[in-house]
Amino acid sequence: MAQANTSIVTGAGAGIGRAIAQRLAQAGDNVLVVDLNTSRADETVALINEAGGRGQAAVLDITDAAALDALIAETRNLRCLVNNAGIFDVKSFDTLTAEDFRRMYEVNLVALFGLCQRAARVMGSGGAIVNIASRAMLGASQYIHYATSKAAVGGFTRSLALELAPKGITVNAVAPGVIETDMLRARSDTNLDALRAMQPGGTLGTPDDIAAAVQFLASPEAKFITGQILLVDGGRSLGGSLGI
Amino acid sequence: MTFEGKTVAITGAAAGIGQATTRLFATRGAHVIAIDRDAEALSRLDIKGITPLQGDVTDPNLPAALKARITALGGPLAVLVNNAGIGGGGRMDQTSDDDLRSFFEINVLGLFRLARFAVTEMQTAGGGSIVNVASIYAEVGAQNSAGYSTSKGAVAALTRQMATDYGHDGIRVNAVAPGLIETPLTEERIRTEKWRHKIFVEQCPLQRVGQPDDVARAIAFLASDEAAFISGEILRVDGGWAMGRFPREAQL
Repeated sequence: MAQANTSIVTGAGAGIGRAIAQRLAQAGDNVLVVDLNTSRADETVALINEAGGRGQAAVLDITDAAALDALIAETRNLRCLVNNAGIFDVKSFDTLTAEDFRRMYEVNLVALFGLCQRAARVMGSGGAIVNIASRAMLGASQYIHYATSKAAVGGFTRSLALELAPKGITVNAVAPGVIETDMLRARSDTNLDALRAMQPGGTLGTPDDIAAAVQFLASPEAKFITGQILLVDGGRSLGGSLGI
Repeated sequence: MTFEGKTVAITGAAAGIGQATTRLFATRGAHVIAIDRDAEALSRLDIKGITPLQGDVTDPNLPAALKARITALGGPLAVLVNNAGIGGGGRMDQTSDDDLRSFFEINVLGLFRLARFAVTEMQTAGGGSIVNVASIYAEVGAQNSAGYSTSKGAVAALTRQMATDYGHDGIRVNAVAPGLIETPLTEERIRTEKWRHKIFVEQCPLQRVGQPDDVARAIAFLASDEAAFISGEILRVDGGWAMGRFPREAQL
């Protein structure tokens, strides 16, 4: 039997990352569940294994270059990398500091770059990288550091797609809209009903909605699709009916 | 990604992207109503379980004919793929009023009329999914494509309009924007015209033109429940072509 493909999913200990890891494992991949938090990573691995899949925890900080080196050195048959890990923070423009910006970019962009570079060196033709951007890249109030870091992920995705195309590796991004995660539900500044009212379909997205799009872009089904940023936002970015 | 037992209508089903899409949906369990104006080509389609419907998208009676087939199959219409269209080159100064009219008559009005029928069906059924075939030319511009690109730009705008208006009815509307795809219509040109090969193969990041199946798979994804939270999107299926020509100038 051929050796199973390996997928790396960062930030896979919860929410969207966990749903992506579960989907890729269900499709038969050996999934490396990267997360900062040991118990969360273990929980995702347990969910994967209970469902008959193969998962393995890799507890590390993606801003730690040595940890990324070790991760890639231990990985065999890498076919897919999903850069989902990131940080989010609400802060008005007037109170933002340069340090807030640096921290945001360090995790959401520089760490993502570091892992892509290492992964691309060991990936062969047929490899796929999927980055998680955000609908916030279109412009968002109260978190300009987050929104611009995700816009940068968009530019990064398109540029890397050009560089890796000759190797037969596709690079795409998914830009989620409002997704109902535990993290969103826990936020005190959100009113879920108000958010639902802004959706053309009246519902928020689920982590699995994002996972399904990632799985498609990472699969051979999408082998002629590269450099794309797919909005998965239930039509939230359309005009007209969205008046608050 | 299954369409088991679902009724799916596809226009321009007898050749190229439409044929590949028809085959893919049929393989995945759908009852496909395969619409094409070419009766002979339809009869030659060797795909199990499809319902051929000879009809032209410019015919105002096509929705009624489609309705009859949907009813006969037990309905409802779950998916409509608006693929039928005409191509053709020419700058604006080479395009007559009649040329422009014919691009719009087929690529826009034909699609509009069928989609209007489909949304009423889908509203009654409590939802559905529509996928339109737009074009990469309309997204980024292309030389010698005044009439065609303009009509496909209208398809993209209509896609977003429908997604906005019918989201509350559980109807999702998306489009694919294919790059140059190898079909019976384009095959010879790609092979014999040097400039075309250079621009669409050598300068395409993935170094090839698309195959009908590449587009069919993207259409199936957008039409399926896997894309339940995707609406109003135009997905480019172009091997990265529109993003930037390759190799870059420094390497030329």
